[in-house]
Amino acid sequence: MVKELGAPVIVCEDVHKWYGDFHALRGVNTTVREGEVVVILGPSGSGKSTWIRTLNRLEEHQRGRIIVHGTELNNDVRNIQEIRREVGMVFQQFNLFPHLTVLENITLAPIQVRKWSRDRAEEEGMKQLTRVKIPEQASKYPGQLSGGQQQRVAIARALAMQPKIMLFDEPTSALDPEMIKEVLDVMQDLANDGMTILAVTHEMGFARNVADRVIFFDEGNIVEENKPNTFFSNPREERSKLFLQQILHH
Amino acid sequence: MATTSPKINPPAKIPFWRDIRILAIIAQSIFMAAVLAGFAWLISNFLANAERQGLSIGFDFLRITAGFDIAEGIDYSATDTFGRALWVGTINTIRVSLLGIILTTITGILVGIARLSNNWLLGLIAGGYIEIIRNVPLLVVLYFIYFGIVLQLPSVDDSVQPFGLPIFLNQRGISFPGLTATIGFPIWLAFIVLATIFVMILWTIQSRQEEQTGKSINKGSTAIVSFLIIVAIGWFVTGSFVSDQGMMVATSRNITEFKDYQSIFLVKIDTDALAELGMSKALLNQLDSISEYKGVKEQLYAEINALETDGGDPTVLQEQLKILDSASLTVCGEKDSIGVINASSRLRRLGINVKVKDEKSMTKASANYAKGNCDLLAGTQSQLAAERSVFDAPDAHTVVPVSVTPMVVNTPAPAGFNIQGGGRISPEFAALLFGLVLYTSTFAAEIVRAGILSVSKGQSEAARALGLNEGQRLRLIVLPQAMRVIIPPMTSQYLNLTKNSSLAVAIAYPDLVSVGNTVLNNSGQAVQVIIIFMTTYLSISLLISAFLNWYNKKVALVER
Ligand SMILES: Nc1ncnc2c1ncn2[C@@H]1O[C@H](COP(=O)(O)OP(=O)(O)OP(=O)(O)O)[C@@H](O)[C@H]1O
Ligand SMILES: [Mg+2]
Repeated sequence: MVKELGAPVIVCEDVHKWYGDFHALRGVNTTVREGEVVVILGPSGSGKSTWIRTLNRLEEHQRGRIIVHGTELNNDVRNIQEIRREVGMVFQQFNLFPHLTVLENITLAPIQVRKWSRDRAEEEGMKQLTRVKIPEQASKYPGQLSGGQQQRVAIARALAMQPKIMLFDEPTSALDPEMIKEVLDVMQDLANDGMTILAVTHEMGFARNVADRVIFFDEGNIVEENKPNTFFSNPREERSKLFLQQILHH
Repeated sequence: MATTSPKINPPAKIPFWRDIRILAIIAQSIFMAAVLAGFAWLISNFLANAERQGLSIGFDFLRITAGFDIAEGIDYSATDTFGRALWVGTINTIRVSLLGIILTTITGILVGIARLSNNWLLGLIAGGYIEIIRNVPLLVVLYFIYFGIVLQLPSVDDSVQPFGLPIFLNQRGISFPGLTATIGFPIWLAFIVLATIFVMILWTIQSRQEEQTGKSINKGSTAIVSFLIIVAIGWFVTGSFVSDQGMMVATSRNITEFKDYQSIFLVKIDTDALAELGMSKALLNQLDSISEYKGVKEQLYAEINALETDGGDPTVLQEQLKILDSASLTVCGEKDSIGVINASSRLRRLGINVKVKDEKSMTKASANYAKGNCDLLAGTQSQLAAERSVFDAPDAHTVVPVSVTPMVVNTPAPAGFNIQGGGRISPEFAALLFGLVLYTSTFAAEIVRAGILSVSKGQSEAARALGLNEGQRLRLIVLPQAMRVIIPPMTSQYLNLTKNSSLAVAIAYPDLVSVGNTVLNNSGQAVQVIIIFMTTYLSISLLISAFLNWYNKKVALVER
């Protein structure tokens, strides 16, 4: 199963980020190619979320360059909006809009941001809901759904904007075990369809079977990047070994 | 399936003393009975006491003549009844409360958002304002504003006129330009309604088009422009077709239309005196239209300036200018009547100097005109026709119709010991309104801030990640959710403001309680007056809560 990867879609050059005095990202360098599935691992507080959130400017980086889909993330609002249109994001806590129905959650951005007609947005919304296998929930409110269903709606909401890249930040961490599979299945389908994916997750099975590359973070920087198989069986770095020992002991 | 489910015995009959539904009804009934018994006891007690002391217990006193004056409010005089007096007070209470609620909402939202802003200074100012004002009793705030600020304003003679605008601040209150509706106003109003309906229909059609085609149309500006066009057409159409206004002028003046009035004005320019002062023939010949009259004046100004810089002597030219400036038309009419306001302002717009001679009544104004003290007499056409018919030589005068705009601007102006015309806010009303808004806004601001903070950060992040801009994020995601947290406590603040308006009594604004106290003292009907207080405040409060509950349901029920 050797996958042909496309052109670079995310380029990070020496990315630094400080929270006040705290140096959260310390010179991250990496390139993600089109169609690539990257899983980000690392101990708690190592900066995984921080990094993934700088990629669509939910967090601002203070030094270095981030180029997403050919557009540089800087203080230009136009660039930021352009990148956010092309990059979908799924959060640990779902963050669905509780005052809107499932379908309204999904069609909001296509109508407001892409300026699609309601008909077109709803058609696309239903298509995405079918893709995540819950078209029958369209007219419910988020509060009426199970956690797994909510997270799938959140994925459909991001997909409806037809993004080129999807970011996942621990999408299954708030879910009960039997719901985790529903979400991982959807993510795997996405990967099979050729979507570029960056996912922070503790699901080692997903990392092993779906990812093209594992990025291991520690203390605000990338410590090791490797093929999943090599990373799990024969990690290059001491810290990676330590980390794997800790999680595999459980 | 039915075969596999366990067999359930038919429900046994529950004895009523264990039936939760019946127990609830019994509890309710006992409580209700206790409350009713309490009320019955209170009322019978009161009736017995009242009878023993020979007090009347009806509301007939409301029809007795009040015999006292009320400083401001709707039409009222001392010969009206107690009932009318209380009604005036009620309207005054509603007026200050309603305006207070609107201003408090606006200020509260702005200050609440300001306190959350990233701007350090703005946040500090908003925070300081909230902490200082809300920790001072409202009565003290009112006293401070009334005695410390409003009553410290200068006397009428020394009225403050900010930026030279036609606004006058003094101890008697604030006078400002007002709008007076004319006979054309209702028709214009109809145009406004028409325009609103039209815009709403247009909006719906365009929204539908937008959704179908997916192309966004600039609905906002289309709506505004078409609204303005219809309203403007209404303004002019109404102005020229319906007018009861006219001006009387000597027939010899050959006036048939309003714009002819400039010819009378031009005649009043003393060209002989100008020629004597050496004004050139060419310039004198120019004084045959208003625009050229203005041109000549400008030319004189320029020449005077030039002479002054060159060190020459501009005296003669200044004399000429004085003569030009002194030419004016005198309009007579009833004081503050639409006729006078309209005629003088329209003539001024033509570029004509106007002097107004106000009289208390039309008859007096007419007499003044008959004596030849004025060039024109302004009034309604029927008034003028009636006056003309009693002149010695009616045919020597004609009445020329004057078109009016649906509303005319009524500018205040100093006159004797007072400021006349325009709208006026009394010092008491200003102080009470300002105090209530200042005080209640601090609570409203905190409620708004809490509402916005109650929406989790994740909501904003999701909105941003989807590419919504900051305005869309606030409008579509944050505010709708904040609203549900804001409205219930905001309702209590609105009710507080309304009830607190009764502190008006402290600064002598004639609100319901203030007037009611006087009624109570003059009539001796304490209990009835207090019942009226309670029912009135209760009704106002219930109305406010009912409205906000309805609104709250509208925004709250969507969740589940
Ligand atoms: N808003 C913030 N202000 C200050 N420090 C922060 C902020 N957000 C994160 N940090 C710090 O930055 C570091 C990296 O945080 P981050 O959330 O990226 O870690 P993470 O790798 O995602 O951890 P986890 O697996 O627990 O989610 C942590 O030490 C955290 O305390
Ligand atoms: Mg994290």
